[in-house]
Amino acid sequence: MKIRNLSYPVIILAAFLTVFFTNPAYNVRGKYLEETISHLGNLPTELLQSVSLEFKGVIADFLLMKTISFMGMKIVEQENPDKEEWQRINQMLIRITDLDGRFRDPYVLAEMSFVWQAGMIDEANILLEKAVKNRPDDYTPLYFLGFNHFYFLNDAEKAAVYLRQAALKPNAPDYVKGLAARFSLYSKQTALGILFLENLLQDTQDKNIRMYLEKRLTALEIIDSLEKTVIAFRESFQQMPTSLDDLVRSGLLENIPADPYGGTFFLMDNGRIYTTSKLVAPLKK
Amino acid sequence: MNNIFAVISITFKEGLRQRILYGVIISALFVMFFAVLFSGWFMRDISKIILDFCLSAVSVGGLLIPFFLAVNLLSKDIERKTIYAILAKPISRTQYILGKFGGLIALAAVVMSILSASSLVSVWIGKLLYGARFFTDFSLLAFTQAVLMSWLSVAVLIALVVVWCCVTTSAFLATLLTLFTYIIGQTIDDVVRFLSVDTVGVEISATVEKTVQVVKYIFPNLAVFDLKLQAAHNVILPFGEFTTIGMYGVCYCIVALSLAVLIFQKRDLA
Repeated sequence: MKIRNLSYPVIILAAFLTVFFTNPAYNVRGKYLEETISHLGNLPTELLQSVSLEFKGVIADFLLMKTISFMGMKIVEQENPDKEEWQRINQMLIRITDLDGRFRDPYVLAEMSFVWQAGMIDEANILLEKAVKNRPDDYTPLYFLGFNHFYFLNDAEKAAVYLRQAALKPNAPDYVKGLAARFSLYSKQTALGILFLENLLQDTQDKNIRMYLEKRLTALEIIDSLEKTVIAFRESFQQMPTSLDDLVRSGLLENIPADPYGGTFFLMDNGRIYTTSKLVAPLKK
Repeated sequence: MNNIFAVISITFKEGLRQRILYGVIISALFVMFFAVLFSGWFMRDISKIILDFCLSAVSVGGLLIPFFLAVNLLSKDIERKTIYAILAKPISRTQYILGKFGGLIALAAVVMSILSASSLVSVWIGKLLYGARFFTDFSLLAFTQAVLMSWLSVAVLIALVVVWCCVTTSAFLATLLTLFTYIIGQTIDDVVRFLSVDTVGVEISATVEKTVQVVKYIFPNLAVFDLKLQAAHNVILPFGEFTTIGMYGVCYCIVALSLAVLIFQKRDLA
């Protein structure tokens, strides 16, 4: 009887403590989340394929979710993965695409993060070549490859080859068809970057990744607008401005916009605009 | 034939008495909810994620029958001597085996149908929540092909459970043998393909190669029935290929059941 009377307070106390310990338990898990990623990505492909039995698709989904969570955590904390972490992420994406070669999201993630955030153009391109092989009806891997060659590798010739191949794919939108021909007309890479990011955003659901892309798009739009103002200054005064302050003094610009990444925009010798943040979020202190 | 149907009916009702349907319906609701929720975390392949989850759930639901129910219904019949009550009636041992197999695959069909229906509901909810443009890759035909082949894979495994239950008197041993059969069946394809490729620096002994060649014909290649990834990416198998896999599964079941009947007829049940 006594035990029975005691059981209710014990149950209530246990319920209360469960709620109390929930957040600390999540915090402990969060501390070691990085480790979990590294171990899974290091498993050999053959072993991973064998232990996945008939559930390769679901295992690939889980691994990608872990990668996205890890990267989302970094975005929220305004941190950038270090070099070793980027390599682990790359390993993970390789494993995921070994399990399910047609899975589109790992390739898109590589394109969004490797090239823009980590400068790992070669790694992204290797994954995209794999996508070209595994997703023969899809125009996007070829489109991404074309973009990377044009924007990051300054190889317009090879970029045009990729874009022509992309344009032949059945699901290629009309703008891709015209893009290959117009490539040489894009003297300003910024315009192409804006177009590219707008397309990525159209099909992106994840809140954190959308936040990341929107921030970059805003920065590129500001750069594009400033570059246009520089051109307007040159046409009006027949000389190049020496700094962005000249644009403000001339009245063409109300004020120098703030860099969403926390840096300061500046004018380069060739008339292009860049920022001291190098479009990378500062480390959180 | 009527006797076989009688055993099928008894097995089916016995299976339902284990209240598996309650478990299956709860699992179906859970999978529906989780698949839709989980898929929202991804960028573009939302329909693929939902189908991966739902088709895996259909497979797991089907696998519960050979792993838990089949061994329970077959081995316990012999262990608890309830088989005497059945065989005392004008039912031959062959009819008993075929009836048990029929009842179990019918149970698997019901379980997998419920889970498949809930999967389609998940796809529909996903379309409503995230928009139809993420579901352009969904094909009902590819989905149906995957579910049918998953069911055939379960049927092959059930046929082998029947064999193991005829060979051994222990329910535990039969479960263990079924588990090994499943793992070998799922991995034999990879092993055979690995051995067929000449890898520099890797030397494989002739004995291993011959053993694998023999195992290839003894154990079923369960990986061939796995069309989940194809369904998730809207890859429809041509009729010829689909029939080839189907015939492989059906023929394997016939051989396994014949073997089970042969063993069971010679078995001393006393």
